[in-house]
Amino acid sequence: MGNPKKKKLNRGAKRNGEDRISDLPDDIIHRILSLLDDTKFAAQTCVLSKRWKNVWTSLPDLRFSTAYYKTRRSFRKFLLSALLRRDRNCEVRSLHLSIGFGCVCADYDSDEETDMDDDSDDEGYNYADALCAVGPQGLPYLENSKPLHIYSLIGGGDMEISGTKLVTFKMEGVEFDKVKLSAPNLEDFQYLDREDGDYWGRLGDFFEIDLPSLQTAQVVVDYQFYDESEQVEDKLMKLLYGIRNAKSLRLNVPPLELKSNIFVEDAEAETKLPSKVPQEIKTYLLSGSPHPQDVDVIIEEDDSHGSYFSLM
Amino acid sequence: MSITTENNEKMITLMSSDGEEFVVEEAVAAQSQTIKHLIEDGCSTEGSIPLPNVTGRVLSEVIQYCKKHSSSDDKEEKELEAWDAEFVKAADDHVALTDLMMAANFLDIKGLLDLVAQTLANMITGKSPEEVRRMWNIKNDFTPEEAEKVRKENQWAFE
Repeated sequence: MGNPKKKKLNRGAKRNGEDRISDLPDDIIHRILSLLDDTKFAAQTCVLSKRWKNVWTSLPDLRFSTAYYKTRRSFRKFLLSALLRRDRNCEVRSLHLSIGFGCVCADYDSDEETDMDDDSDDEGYNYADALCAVGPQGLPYLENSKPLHIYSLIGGGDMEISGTKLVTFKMEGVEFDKVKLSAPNLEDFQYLDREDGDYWGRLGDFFEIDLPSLQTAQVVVDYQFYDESEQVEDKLMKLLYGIRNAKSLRLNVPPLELKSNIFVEDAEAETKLPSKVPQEIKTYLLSGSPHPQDVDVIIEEDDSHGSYFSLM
Repeated sequence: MSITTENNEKMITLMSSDGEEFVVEEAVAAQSQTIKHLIEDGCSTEGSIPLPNVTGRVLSEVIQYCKKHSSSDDKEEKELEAWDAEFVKAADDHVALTDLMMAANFLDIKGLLDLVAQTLANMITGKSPEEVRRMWNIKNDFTPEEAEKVRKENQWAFE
């Protein structure tokens, strides 16, 4: 109750009897809330007091991880509710999604939900759905977003991202069957997938990529565990073709036999990258680029494979 | 006034809101982007730099942090982490941390801001709203009816 006497007493008696946190400006509270493991915990602060009721709704950094939900359904429900309830005038600055991989499922409704670790076929579509629901295609929120970082999103399915204001986009440890990506203002693209990384995904079919403003790109693919039926070389070539506009390209890919020749019509039928002279590789890789002379290609050394090559 | 020490390090005088003066090396003070800009604008040449939002007690803690972080390089990352952990532990309670947070924000010291924010975030991790209120002395000013309504409207966040 509002008893001024009591308040006075507290302040005099003990400094930490004061509520100073509530006096912090919103942007500083956001800084604290954005460090919580999941936006769910930020949203829960709404019941603390009137001051806190709406603080979380303008949180610019969002983070969702299935690890903190008992069921897939409660995860999706939270995701959608949170996005619907947040203040749409507040720009999403970053969005972290961590879905499916390595999640801890303490408990679940066995009658209609399956464990999130279960590799049931429909799972990927559910997560792809969930992503699209928050992504530029599903809802307009990300139209204002600058960096988008999707990591640990496995299960397959198709993904379509079309963000006109998207400037940086990083995919790390993701698995999709097909990817369509259209971002006219995207400047930096990263595709990271390595076995020893934090997240391990699977290269999908980048079947429609439109990135006219791309400046820098990084591709890391570690596919020693792919089998032949997955046609990983083809997929990698498609991805490389998709990012051909980049002026700076960092690659870390294993020895690669190029069978499908996207870039050059009259190149030799098969080119084994590491055994070739760097300049040729460069020419080969960049023959699809509109500005091949200006491009820096850095192919990183990687001890685990031994046969990497590097060139500038 | 800017004084120069024997090893040619420029010294800067900072003055807290309660009039306490601190003489520190420029490199230490420049950990604060705010102070760095003030120095660049020539504010340090005419006497001390006044910091009206920071008390002497908080400023001395902030300087302690800046000293440590300007003298350590990347190699000592582990040691620095341990030092940071001790530093926030010494701040002891959320009131002291809040003061530090406001100072770090005003002085624009990213590392300190991140450190304190992380400490406060850790404090509420895994706690129920009731526990958070008790810990941070947040007064529940909802009427029972309002509380019920807020809880119901946001039930999805607690599932």
